[in-house]
Amino acid sequence: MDRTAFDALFAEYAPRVRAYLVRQGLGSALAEEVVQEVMLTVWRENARFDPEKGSMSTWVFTIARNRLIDSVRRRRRPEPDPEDPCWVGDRDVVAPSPETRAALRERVRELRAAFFDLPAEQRAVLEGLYFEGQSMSEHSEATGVPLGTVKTRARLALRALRGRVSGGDEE
Amino acid sequence: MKPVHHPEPDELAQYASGASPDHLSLVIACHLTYCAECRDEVKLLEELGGALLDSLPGGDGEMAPPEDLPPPAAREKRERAPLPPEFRMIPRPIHAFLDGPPRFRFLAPGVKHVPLALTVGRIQAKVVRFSPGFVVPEHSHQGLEMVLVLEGELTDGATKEVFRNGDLSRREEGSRHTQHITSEDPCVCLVVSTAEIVPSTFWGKVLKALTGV
Repeated sequence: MDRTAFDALFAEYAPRVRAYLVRQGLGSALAEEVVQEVMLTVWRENARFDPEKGSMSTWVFTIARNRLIDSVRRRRRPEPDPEDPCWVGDRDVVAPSPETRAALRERVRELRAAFFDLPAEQRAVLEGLYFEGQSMSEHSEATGVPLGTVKTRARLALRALRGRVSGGDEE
Repeated sequence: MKPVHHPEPDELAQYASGASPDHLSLVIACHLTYCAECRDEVKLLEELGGALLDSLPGGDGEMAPPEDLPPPAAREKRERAPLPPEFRMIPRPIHAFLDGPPRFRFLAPGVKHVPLALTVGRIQAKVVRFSPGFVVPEHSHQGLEMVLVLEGELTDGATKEVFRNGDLSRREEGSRHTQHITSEDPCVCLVVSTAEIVPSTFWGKVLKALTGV
């Protein structure tokens, strides 16, 4: 990746990453700082991004998520390591597939459309998770909806999303 | 062998979104080490994160990229000191929570453990090694207990379900059960409990006092 490509990525993602961090409760000064760290990671680690395996948006999301956890909890998030001697199965995090970069982008776009088609109360559970860092029980406490209902909503939402991107064969 | 007892879908969603507390993240990361099926699920959930990031408002160019960029990172190969052979069954996500080189400490006849540096408030995490034939006495739970099998085999006394490599046994509040070590070799598990466990037998109370299992 060259400077021009990075500047384009920065223009596309930096404001979104900042919006994400602010929704997660970071003050604007800290959010600003973490955005720079996230985007520098995107630049420095670019060789590790494999467009055959995931979209750029997904990759940036995982970097922002991990930086957020590091900065808030001061501890690295536990993650599986494909080089672990205990590893079982394919060492690629995803099974290799003929999906092209365009197909992956399409899949993320489809997920986003599917997300906006969900009933509002299911969307609220996922937004709580992804944007507010709210666990199921925290969401239940914050909204007064019983925990069992929150979990059911999450399950229904995830099933619907999976159904949409796997061509409906889950339903 | 593929795990057959998985985390709940909403737990995977909490992990992928970043909302899960450390103790749950640790259990999930260990399960993912063994389970390709749940790795695919988490991948999809991370794509949802990407989709949601896309849905946030873009800017109008008021944010400036850094002027100086450091050289890109070399693709370094991370060399790690391997654990002694006795601990080879401990997957890497746990390594960060080991306080120095691990050592199994005596807890009770037939039970040894390595405490993990993840004991926050009422949450306890440890790697426990049970001798073959050991029976974890009946106890009822307040809160949640999660047991992820790293090696060997565990059978639930009530449901007769068998748990092996990567399988997650979860006990909700109020459940009572015994667990039997049914492998010929010791059974090693990651045990995370989010509240005190109340034993319901005398021996269970003694064991509890000794071990916290």
